[in-house]
Amino acid sequence: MFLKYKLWKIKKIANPSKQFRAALWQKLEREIIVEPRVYFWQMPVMRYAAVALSLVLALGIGTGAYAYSSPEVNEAHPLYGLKKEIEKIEERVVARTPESLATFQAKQMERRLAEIERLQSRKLNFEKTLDELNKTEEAGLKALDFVTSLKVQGIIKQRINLQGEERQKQLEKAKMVLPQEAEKRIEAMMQKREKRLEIQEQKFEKKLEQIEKQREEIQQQPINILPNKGRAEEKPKNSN
Amino acid sequence: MTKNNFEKFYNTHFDKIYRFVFFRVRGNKELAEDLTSEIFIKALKNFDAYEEEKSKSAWIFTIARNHLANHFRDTGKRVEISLEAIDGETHIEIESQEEIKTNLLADGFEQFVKKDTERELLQALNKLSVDARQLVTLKYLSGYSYKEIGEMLGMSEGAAKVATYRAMQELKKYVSKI
Repeated sequence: MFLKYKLWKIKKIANPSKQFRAALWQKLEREIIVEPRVYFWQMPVMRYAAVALSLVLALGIGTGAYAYSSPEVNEAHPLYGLKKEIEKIEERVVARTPESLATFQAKQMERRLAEIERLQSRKLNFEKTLDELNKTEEAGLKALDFVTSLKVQGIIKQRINLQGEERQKQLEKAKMVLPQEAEKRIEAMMQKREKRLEIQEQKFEKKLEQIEKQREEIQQQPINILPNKGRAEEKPKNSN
Repeated sequence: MTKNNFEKFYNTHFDKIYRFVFFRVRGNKELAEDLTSEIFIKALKNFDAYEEEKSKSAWIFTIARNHLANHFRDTGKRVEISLEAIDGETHIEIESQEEIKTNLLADGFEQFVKKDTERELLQALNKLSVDARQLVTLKYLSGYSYKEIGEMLGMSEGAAKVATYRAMQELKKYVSKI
């Protein structure tokens, strides 16, 4: 231990000074030739990759936009899956209130109808789209139940019904095109829809009646301009 | 090469190399500083050849040892050298034992070793064989680990440990005699 300790003491004495360490580093620092740093995106290969990536992006965005907006992209089209996915995202983003959800469903109905038209013109089966159209209508009407403003409810309902009527016309034409089994299914769907609409109509009328009643009640009540005074007069009557 | 890499390298090896040089030039502080500067400038110029994973301390140690050998050759001084030179080459002539005895206490050592016990220890160190002295100097005066010493001297970590232990036992005998 003694020996090691003595050696350690000699070692400590032989330590370089801080000034020398700093001065030498400064000297070395001046000698260091720092090569300009090349980041990976500055490499020549990355230029080609960037071009390729932007092409892929442009194509992707272009394809997505086309799939989303065109009625040509329907259940018989390979891009239909992409279209549905974009619509799902749109629903999540846009439909935040019952009003916006009902409006969105009305817009979806328009889309499905346009698709049915195209499919029909090509004499292709459009059962799936029709089924979706019904579901969309159902969802739209459900959302309407939660719309508080009757005025807004009326406007959206009108839009949905318009699509429904339009669809009815399409279906009449479709009977000529679709096979017999499909025809039966469509008729069943139509009946379901009519029932649904009846129920919806009844609900709407009930609501209107309620509002009307409330309005009448309010009109019949005497208008008390000085409520405090009136109450003060009523008190002695009750005590007697 | 990046500045950060060399800075890290410099901070890791600076003290050890300085002390190694300091003891080889017998405590001549100014000379030790000059030689250390030259060694690190050499290292900087050849830093692209340095492979941290492979050589670690051995690379800079070889530069330092060769640089010292060149220095002593140029100045005409004779220095001690290991009987088994590290890279298999003999660079410098071997000093006589009589010269070694006086050399460590000559020049700068007188200036910084003030206590008698420390001076005696250096005298005892002079009496060791060249290989034993090198091991003790590298381990206890320069501050290298057994692993680093093994890499520098081309032996295993265990062998370096055993050899250093034996050198210390030898040193103890001389210390008790003084």
